[in-house]
Amino acid sequence: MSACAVPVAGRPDVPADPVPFGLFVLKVASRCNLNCDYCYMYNKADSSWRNKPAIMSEETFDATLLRIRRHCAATGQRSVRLAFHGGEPTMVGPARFDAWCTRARSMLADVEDVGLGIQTNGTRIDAVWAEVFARNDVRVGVSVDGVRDEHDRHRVDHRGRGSYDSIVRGLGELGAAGVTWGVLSVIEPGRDPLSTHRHIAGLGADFVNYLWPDHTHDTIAGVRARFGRTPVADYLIPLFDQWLESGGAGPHVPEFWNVARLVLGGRSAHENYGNEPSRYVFVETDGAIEGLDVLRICGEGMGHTGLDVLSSDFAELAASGSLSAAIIMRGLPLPSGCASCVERTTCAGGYVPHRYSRAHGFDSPSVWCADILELFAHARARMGVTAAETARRRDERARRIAAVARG
Amino acid sequence: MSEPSDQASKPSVDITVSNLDVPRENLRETLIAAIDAELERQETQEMMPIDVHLKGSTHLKSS
Repeated sequence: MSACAVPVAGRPDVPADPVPFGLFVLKVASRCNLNCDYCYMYNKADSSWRNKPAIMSEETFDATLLRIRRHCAATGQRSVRLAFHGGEPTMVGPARFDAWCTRARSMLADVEDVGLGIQTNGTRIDAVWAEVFARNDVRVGVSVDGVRDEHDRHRVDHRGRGSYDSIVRGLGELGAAGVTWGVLSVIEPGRDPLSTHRHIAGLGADFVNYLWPDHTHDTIAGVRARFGRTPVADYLIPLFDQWLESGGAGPHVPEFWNVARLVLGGRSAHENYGNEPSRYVFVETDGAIEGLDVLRICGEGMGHTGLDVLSSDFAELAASGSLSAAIIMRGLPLPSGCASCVERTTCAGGYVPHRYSRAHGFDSPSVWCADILELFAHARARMGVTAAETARRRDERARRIAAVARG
Repeated sequence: MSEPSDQASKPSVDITVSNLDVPRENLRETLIAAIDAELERQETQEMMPIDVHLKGSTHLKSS
């Protein structure tokens, strides 16, 4: 399917043909039973969740599926992923979730490969939920920060009680039901990364995504004052070495796989780096079509597009003129401070929300720039691939791809 | 973003190495070769599998 081959007349930035979206994130619940101190949804710069329905209605869910079906038909894409997200998506209850999974597979039956997933805090998983996940072939991501004390330092309920024990019980149910699950773990500078990784691996995770703490240039100063110049690189580098030297044994670590891809001249498969068009969208509980939800750390309503599934097709996003449309369809311009950087084609400014400041918008390198440079320099040294070699490989791949495209 | 889990789906190349007799240098080179092979395969594919890190409820508190 030719994506964006022909621009709309008068709008060279708008593709004439709808482009495939690989992932639709369905915010089926806008409330959470936890109150983690670092949450970008409830404890940062955006409070729009207060005006959203607590749970997505049946009408909105069905409208979402119809729009997804239309979009897949229009693009001809053969594969799509749906992610149940929130808030805490298990707030919808297992019976409704089960029915929604069945409806999703039924309404998207014309799409060859439909993947369902859920990102949950894990506290409400029991044998019933585990059976529902297994029967509907739902991949599960659970948030675990580390051992009990580390985890319960941040991930608490609304009365301040830790959530570790309830999560571990839930993971046991997932394992017993044969559900594939992995972990999102927020990096906490100063912690022992190898100890945390061993603990998560020991729980039986299939993958571990280490998440960089969400900060903008307006909020990062305290972190640097407390933990130094490169606290995230200091955390990740020992893990990278362990991963590389073991041949990738243990849970899959997408962050490192992606860094290695980039060093070897590939394109980024992860939005942390590369400034690629993200090509995925969010649908809120009220049906609003939105862009990246982590933009909430930057300010109120940053992800708004003005579209909703009750009245709009996803293809209309391209012409919406919103910040989200730019991020999703094209990627933002490289920050001016990155123009002469050795990692300008690999990192390419970093994760978009981390580029933000009130003074300069998104025209700054990531707040984690020093960490990224340190991590890439380390990876290059350990893999024996210089920046010049990356560029050579990248150019060579581009030539081969162009040759394939020419037939 | 991932996917919620997909974002995290295992690579198609099995890189798990259980043979402890394999020298460490070989493990590293095997891993790098597997990643390089994945890049070669994807060159002709229409869509890149973007691995979204859906920050989940964790970092996300909610979301």
